[in-house]
Parts: sequence; structure tokens; C-alpha cells
Amino acid sequence: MDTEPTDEQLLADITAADGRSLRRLLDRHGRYLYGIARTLTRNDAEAEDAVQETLVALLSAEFRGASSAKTFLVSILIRQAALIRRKRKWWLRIVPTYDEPPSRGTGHEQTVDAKLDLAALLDRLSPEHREVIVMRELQSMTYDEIAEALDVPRGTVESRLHRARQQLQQLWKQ
Amino acid sequence: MVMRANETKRNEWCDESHPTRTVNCLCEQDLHLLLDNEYPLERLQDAHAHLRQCPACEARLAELRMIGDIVRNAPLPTPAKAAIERWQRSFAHVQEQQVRRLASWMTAAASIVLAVSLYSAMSHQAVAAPPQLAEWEAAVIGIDSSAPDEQATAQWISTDLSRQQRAGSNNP
Repeated sequence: MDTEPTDEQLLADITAADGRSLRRLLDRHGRYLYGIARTLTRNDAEAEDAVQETLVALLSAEFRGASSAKTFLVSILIRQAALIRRKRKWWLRIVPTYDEPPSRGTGHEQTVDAKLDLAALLDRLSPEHREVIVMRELQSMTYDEIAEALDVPRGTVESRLHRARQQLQQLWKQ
Repeated sequence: MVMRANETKRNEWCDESHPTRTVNCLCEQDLHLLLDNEYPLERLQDAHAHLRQCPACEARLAELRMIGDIVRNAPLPTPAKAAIERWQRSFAHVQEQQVRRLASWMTAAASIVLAVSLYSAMSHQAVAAPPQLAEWEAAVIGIDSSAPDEQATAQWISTDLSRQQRAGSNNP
């Protein structure tokens, strides 16, 4: 009987020539990864790039099994999204007319659409605050894990989370 | 010093002016730590005891929890239909490029190894080659000087003869 391979097996076999492992992994987590990337980057093209770069990074990254495969993928994705964001900042200095497309409805449309998607919900947070919210609320990462992933002190994680939640509370009350 | 720094941060976050706040009320930082299961274990029981008897703190914690629920339950943006195919194609392309790069590096390395080996072999041959036997010596001994084995034998005979000659001249 042909048993369904685990995520870990698929990760180990991702370079297989027929691409079947990659396809399966993408079928399982591609949409989720894109959703996180889109939330972090606020831009469709950059979100697709972030997922793409995450897959490429898998060719040189080693999965040690310390966390689930999904968490492993998301932690790479968050790093790639941050790199893309930094590149974009560099471009913004050269091309000041560049404008991010609005990802959220305005006026009537916004009030009617009660169930905003995550990207729209976190749209007004700074990138640093979005990162910690995603890592904590969606990935259930501990403060220490977040601090390690973002390479910041634990105290910074605490204060960012605190401010991010405060902002979300205020936005929700508005 | 660390404790003092943490204490300062803690006080910054605590909303002392909150109208319903009592001395024992949990500050904002405490609520976040509780929510995220990061609250110090030694104080956890006290915090829960306080929450049971303080509706204000309980309500603040519930509000924070609700924000987390909203984030967790918000639908994720979905990719374009063709995105997964694009990612797969692009991944295969990058993989192929890496294999090609590796192959070219290996070819270059193999060429260098071959060149070094050839050079080494040639220089060794130049050093180790026995001195050519003079034609007249070969003719005297009566061997074919072009055959390498015979040349070596002739060389040996020639050396031996000259040694005998030297010995003869020393003992008349």
C-alpha cells in the first residue's frame, strides 16, 4: 500500500529530479506560505518572490527536525520576506515615486467586509510588528524562538508584541 | 542591574492611571506574558488567583485573547492559480543552474588535476631518463640501442667494463 509521505520526508527528498516531492509540499503548504508572505510584504509580486526564495533556500538549508517542517518553512520565509523588504527600502530611496498598491478596501467596502483577511488586518502595523504577530499568533513560537529567528533580544520581542497588540486593539475598536 | 532594567520597562508598560486599577492588578506586560504562556512559573499561581477575583484584569486579558483569535481566524490571502506551477518551474530552473555550475566547476577542477599530473609525469621522466648510450658503445657491445631494455643492459655492461678497466689500471 502506498502511504502518504510526511512533510519531513518530502523536505529530505525535495531535490528529486521528478519534482514530485516539491509539488506535494507546495500542495500542502504553498497557499499558507503565500498567505504569510503576502501579509508580511503587502505586495503580491513580492509575496510570490518570497515563497520562491524560500524554496531556493531549501536547496542549501538543512532541516534538523528541531521544529515541524511547516515551522521550518515559515521561519525561512520570514527571513526571505525581510530581505525583500530591505531591498525594497533600498529601491525606494532611488525611485521615490514607487507606491505600494492598496491591499485593503476603503470606506463602505471596508465596513461591509467584516471578515478582513490577515493581510488587511495587519496592514497598518509596521513590518516589525507584523512579523512578531505572525510568529506568535500563527506559528505559536515562544519569545525565545522569535528572538532567535529575528536576531533581536527577547525584550525587543516582548515590547514589539505588546505594541502590535495595542495597535490592533485600537484599530479593532475604531 | 538586569533586574532594575526589567523593572523600569515593566513600570513603563503598567498603566498606573487605569481607573479600576488596584495595587495588586496585573500590569500590561503581565497580561501579555500570561497570554503567551511566558509568565514566570513561581508567580503563576498568584496571577491566576488574582484573575479569579478581579473582573477588570480578567476582562483585559479576555480582550487581548480576542485580538489573538481574530488574527488566527482571519483568512489568509490566496495566491494566483498559476503561482504553484510558477514556483515549481522556477525551482527546477534554479536546481538545473546549480547542477550546471557544479558540473563546470568539476570540469575545471578535473582539467587542473590532469594538467598538473601531466606536467609532473613529464618532469619526472626528464629527470629519471637514463643517459643515452653513445652509438660506438652500443656497436662495441653489439646490441640494438633503440630498444629500451637492451639499452639498459648495455648501460650496465658499459659501467661494469669501465669499472674493471679502472681496477686493472690500479693493480698492474
